[in-house]
Amino acid sequence: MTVSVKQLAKQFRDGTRAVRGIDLDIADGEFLTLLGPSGCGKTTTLRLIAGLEEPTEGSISINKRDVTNIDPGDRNVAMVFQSYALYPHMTALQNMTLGLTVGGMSKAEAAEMARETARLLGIEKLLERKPAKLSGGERQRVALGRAMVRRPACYLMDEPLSNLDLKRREHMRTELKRLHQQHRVTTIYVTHDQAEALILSDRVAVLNEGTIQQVADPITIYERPANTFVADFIGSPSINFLNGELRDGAAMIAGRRLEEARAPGSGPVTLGVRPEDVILEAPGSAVIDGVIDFTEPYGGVVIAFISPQNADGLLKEREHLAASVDVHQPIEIGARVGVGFRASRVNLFDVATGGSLLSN
Amino acid sequence: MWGMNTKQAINLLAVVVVILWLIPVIWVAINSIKPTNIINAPIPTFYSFTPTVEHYIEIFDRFQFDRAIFNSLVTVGVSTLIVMILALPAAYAVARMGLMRGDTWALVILSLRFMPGVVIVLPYFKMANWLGIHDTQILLIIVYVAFGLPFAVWILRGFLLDLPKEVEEAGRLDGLGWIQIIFRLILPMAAPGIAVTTIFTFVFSWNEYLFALFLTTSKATTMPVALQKTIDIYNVLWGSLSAGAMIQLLPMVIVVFLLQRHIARGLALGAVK
Repeated sequence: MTVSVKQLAKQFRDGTRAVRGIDLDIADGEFLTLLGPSGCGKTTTLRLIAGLEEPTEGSISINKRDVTNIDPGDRNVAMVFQSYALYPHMTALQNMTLGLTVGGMSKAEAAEMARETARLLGIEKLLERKPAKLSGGERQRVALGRAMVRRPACYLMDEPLSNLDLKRREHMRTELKRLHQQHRVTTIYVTHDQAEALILSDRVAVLNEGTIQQVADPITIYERPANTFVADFIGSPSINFLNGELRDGAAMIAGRRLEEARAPGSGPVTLGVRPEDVILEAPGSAVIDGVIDFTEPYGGVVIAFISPQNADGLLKEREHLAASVDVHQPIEIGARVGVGFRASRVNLFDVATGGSLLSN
Repeated sequence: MWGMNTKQAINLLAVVVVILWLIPVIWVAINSIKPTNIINAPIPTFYSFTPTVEHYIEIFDRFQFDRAIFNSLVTVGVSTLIVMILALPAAYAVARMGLMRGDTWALVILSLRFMPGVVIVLPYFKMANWLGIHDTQILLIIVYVAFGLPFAVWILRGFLLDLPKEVEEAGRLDGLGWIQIIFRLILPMAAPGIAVTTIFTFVFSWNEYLFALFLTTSKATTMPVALQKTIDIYNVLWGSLSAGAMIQLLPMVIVVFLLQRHIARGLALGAVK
């Protein structure tokens, strides 16, 4: 276990409880992402692990050493900041070597290590430049290089890609994934971008209001969310929530039984259905009927927004049911359609607590 | 207006302002090299005279200006140095380490400036006499540090608040201690702010007249006070006064020319927030 966090809590001076008792174990070489909306405590958690904030409660250990009260510089971690935080008055090379020379390494040796890392990142030609003379993407690489050259036990990355434009961001995302698969250095990555989290991570920890909602691999997070918060936060366009009923171990919706959507118990239940699990059929033949009100093209797929007919109170919180349709499938705004569900992939949640009722 | 665009109008206005500002300086500069009889002539002239250095010689011979220059350089130089050495760590503590939060602190600092100088100069005078340091350079250095330091901390604090905090945090993760962070990261990053603060501190003490007048008599007299001695009850020695004023002006001009890039940047930096 590289990083282990026990009952970690942080309350700021103004009374804000940013982190409220977090337990996390991050394995050697694992890429773990802290994902959540702004203000959920993900950055604070990262800063606590880095040592830039002092925890109110709890403990942090890195490589089996308790580092809770140890200076950031002695924790053997390296951080990549959202703003890159390069030293503006130093060249890229000096930026990369400062941490090494402070640690007692000779200048020549440090420069050699920095050159080696720079080659890996394709920035060896930029080493003599100062940050002001570098583009956004180049600064990003230097910041990454500064973290890598120290060969730390763990990388801490705080939304490192969010200042790049879309193309560069996708490129760097792939690059990060490649680097991680080559070197397998334990990484804790903070982002609010779910696509980034799902693409990069071995495991994703979804946070809300300072607590962990679910820690799991990206596919489980998407397919079997632990509660309605995770279900709603992950996925774009958002999951559909429907009001249904549990009877004899299976979900009922608009009087129809979804045999494969199973959970123990009986009574009202919330169904979570991803847009791609909504199936459009001929009117009258499916679970409910509806009218396509408008569409949003997403490239390969088109999202059809359907208002259900004769099914009052079916939808929770929203007015439309989103269905993902292949771009080549003909759909018409105003058309009447039948709506069915891929029942085996429907998630069932407790109406009161929002927790998942599926056992897995 | 007469086919001018806004930019030209602003430039013209700037030229007018500069001329208005420069007229007294030019007048003093010309007077400092005019023979006395021409200065006192009923019809003034700006160019038809033979330049002379007699006033520059006189100000050293008769008014011991060499001693005043020395005193000014020592008291102002040393006090500015002390202020800057103390102000940077102090401003860092205020800006970053949560010392004296909020606006109360601003009021405390600025209230020191509300007080009219004449009100506080008398207690200083008494204390200096008790301590037996009246008319010494040390006394003026103490006074200039006492007045310059809070102000310098206040200005520097503003510059430090504008610096990105993450850079210091990156330094902490790289293993730098507080002292190294201040000297290896903050100092170079805040250089324009430090330059501007140094100039403000220096100028304040360099031009300071009231305290120097009350707290010195002859040994520690600084340039502004020495200049005043060219004016007696019977007449004003315009030539000597002008020559002294030009010498007094010289370091300002040099400093501003040397640091003008930093000053412009520093003033702009401070203005961002």
